[in-house]
Amino acid sequence: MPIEATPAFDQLAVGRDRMPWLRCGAASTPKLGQLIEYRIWSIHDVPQAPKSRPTRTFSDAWVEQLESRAVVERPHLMDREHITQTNVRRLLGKPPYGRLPAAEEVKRTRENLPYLVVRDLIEREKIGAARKLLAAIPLEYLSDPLVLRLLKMLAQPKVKIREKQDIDRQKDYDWLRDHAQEYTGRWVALHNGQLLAAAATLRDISEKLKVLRLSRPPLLHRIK
Amino acid sequence: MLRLSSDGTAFAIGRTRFLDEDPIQPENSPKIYVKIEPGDLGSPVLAQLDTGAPWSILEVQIAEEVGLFGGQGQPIPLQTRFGRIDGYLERTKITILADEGESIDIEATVFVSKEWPAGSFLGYAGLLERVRFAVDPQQNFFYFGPG
Repeated sequence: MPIEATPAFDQLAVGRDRMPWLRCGAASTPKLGQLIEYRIWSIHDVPQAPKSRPTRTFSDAWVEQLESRAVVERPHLMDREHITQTNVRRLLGKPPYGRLPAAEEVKRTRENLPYLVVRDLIEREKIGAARKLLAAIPLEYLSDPLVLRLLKMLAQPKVKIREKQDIDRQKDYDWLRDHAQEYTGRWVALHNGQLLAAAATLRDISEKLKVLRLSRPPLLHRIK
Repeated sequence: MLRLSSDGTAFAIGRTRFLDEDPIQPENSPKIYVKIEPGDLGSPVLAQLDTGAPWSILEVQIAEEVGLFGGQGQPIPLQTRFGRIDGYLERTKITILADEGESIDIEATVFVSKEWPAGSFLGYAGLLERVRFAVDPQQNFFYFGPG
């Protein structure tokens, strides 16, 4: 749901050019900007102007009071330098943003918009879209553990050639066709068309096979 | 091995015979079960080829045996023919075993869940999307190679 900034916020953030970081974020990623605006607005609990005074005529003292509170809680809000890919670590600190209070870090994780969107795409089985979004994710999110996990899970599979061969299991397949009904719900170990062992669990059948000292591992299959 | 590409490189580097029916319900429509070795299980097991499945799925006891529960996977719900199943995406090695030629190790993403009631499946995302494969239904051969 879009979150609208109040007039007081607009005057502070845009009219007076006090928060270049905020404006930079809003300009480059509108949705992300909305989220950031919401966070700042909720975190700092900005004092309301007196009702008798028009909202666009805040005194400098009021603005300074607001900014001094912001500086205490989030020092980087006062950075005059626009955040870029090259200065993000210098301005925001080392990931995961050590200068932020722990509670804010938790909140930031819960409200991690890229993470939530990518997770939603995965749940809707739109894997390609999720990958594209991750590839374009703002740099500041790349150190987030949640985003890192998504990057790992959505990475393309890597294939390596392995000089290993199994044997033709046609005889074992024939055994399954002929005898599977007799072992429903059980694990079976097959080799050369013969049943070596059957057990209720994979662990049990593995234990049974250890004593057989086979030259080649048998085909394991749970008949369902 | 099977060669189809115009530049002469091999389309497939390995071949394996597949099982073409559900052993317990042979009257059902034909399926393709190929041999894989998940993680370091040490033995081949059968997994059903399902290019329509979003993710590969490992049978619950196999996933347990190769240590995929209790990891740091991505929690997701999966809509299946059994309804919604909650589980995790995990990264693991899956080997497609060749009877002839060479096998391939795939660092794949698979779905694991203790609620999963069926067997293992090879799905497209996270596994088959980087595998070339072809099926010879006359001989029941599954050809494969790195894609």
